[in-house]
Amino acid sequence: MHMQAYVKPVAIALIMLSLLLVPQFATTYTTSVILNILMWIGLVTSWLILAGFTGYISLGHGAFLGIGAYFVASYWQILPFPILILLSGLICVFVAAVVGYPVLRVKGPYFVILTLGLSEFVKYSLVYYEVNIRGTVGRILLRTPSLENLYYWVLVICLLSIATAYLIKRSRFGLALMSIKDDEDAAEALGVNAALAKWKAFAISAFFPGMIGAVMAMRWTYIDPYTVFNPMMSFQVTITAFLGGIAYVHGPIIGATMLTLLSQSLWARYPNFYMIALGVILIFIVMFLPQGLAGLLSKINVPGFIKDVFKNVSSPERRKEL
Amino acid sequence: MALLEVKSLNVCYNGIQALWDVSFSVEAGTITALVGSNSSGKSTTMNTVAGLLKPASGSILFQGEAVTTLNAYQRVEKGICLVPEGRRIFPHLTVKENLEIGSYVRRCRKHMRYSLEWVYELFPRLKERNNQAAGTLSGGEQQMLAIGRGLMSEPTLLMLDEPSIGLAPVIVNLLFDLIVGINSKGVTILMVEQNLQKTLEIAQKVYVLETGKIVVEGRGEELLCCDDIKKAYLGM
Repeated sequence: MHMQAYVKPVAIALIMLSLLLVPQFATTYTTSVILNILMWIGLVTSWLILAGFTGYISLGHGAFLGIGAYFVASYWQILPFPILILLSGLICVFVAAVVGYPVLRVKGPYFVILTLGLSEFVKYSLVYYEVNIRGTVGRILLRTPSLENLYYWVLVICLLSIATAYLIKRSRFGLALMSIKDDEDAAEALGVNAALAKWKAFAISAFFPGMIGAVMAMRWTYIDPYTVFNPMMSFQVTITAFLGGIAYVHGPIIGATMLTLLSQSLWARYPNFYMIALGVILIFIVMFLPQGLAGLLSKINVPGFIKDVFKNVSSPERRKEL
Repeated sequence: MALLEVKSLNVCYNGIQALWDVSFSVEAGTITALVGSNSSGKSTTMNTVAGLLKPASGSILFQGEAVTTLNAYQRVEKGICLVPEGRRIFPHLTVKENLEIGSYVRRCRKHMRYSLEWVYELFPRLKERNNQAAGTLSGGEQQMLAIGRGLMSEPTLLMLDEPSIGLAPVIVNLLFDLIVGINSKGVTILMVEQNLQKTLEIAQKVYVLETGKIVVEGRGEELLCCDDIKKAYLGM
């Protein structure tokens, strides 16, 4: 009994420790792959704060990444890096709050299309600004921080997003969001201010991609609107989330790891095949794995200690315990 | 002064006028019923009082205070709670989580534990199924959960829209006993029901709606005795 109680914290501590040690011991290549995985985990987890809890699927998540990246590109070497990261996140919260107020009143497929349209609108506005007003195509960033430095920033943001999602899941606020997903009108009839709850969730979820965009701009060193506002980013966030399982807080961890490793092994050699594989995966999840890999994991018999690690964060089991 | 006063309510639903000058009142501590045939405007009336629909004109006074412009969640804060037609429980949340949502409004958060005990006392079945996903409950249990969830908001006025619909006769009897029991604890009840016989037996005041207008009002026993009204409006 007592032994089992230690398995979870010990396993999590070991994972944390190895993540902390990655830049010291791993090769540059491995570090950059893990950094990519962490970036996707952060993006997907934060996306799930709205989509996973309320069922409002946004295709505009990538736009926040772009806003963060552009903000940092505009003020790089003017303001210190940590402040830039924080400001990027806060600006995205502000944008989400302004945009979200009217947009979140739209429901179902209309909401999905509206978010996609809005992020395209931001992209082409920036293209216009770059070409016609500044007379440039993109920005080149010089004297960017080291890979190691960026790795730790993404790690911190990623862990923050997981902690936030986990705390929301266990809070009264999270319960309200989940009731909205099941039946928004009924929730409203019971005293849940659905508009306010969705608005808050949207604003919170925008904080993380803003910060991640700020850090990743330093990694990319060259940014232009077409790349950082590529709608493919938003699509991949959605696909990763569904692959991992949107009802689970650990879904993004599984989904992002799988998909990043897949893309790393395919992208370089068969770029076209990677896109085909992504399409096939999406079809496969929708047809056979509606609960995602995390859902599959909770059904099959995995060794007890692995289950124990995930039990901490997985949803249905957790709720039964409470 | 009545607990709830509805004055010449006109409501349009999908571009069609569903209620015409509907006025009625609910006295504190009573069971009041709205009856009438299908699509006579009963549910529309309930949803408008709950704040899910906005009236084109007319006013709703609760404890003497106008609530017409308030949103649904603000009316729950005031003590009006609707148990909607078709139960509308949250199928993917557990029974306990469903009940917790019931006491979401600020006024009720502090007493959540006591409310939960009270609801479990009323519906021991729900306590047994505490951690089960609500969608796996039987129809009767789901209705109990819907009512229990409504009670979690410690309502002054509990509105029940077709609580007995789709339930087995044995359960229906149990349900009506429970409604009387809840009422005896001081909760005023406004209900819409298809089961006329039982409703007329327990309701102190009954309003008959027909095509969006109130055509008859009276005490339950009165309507139960009056064959003409029963034949003309209630099809009994």
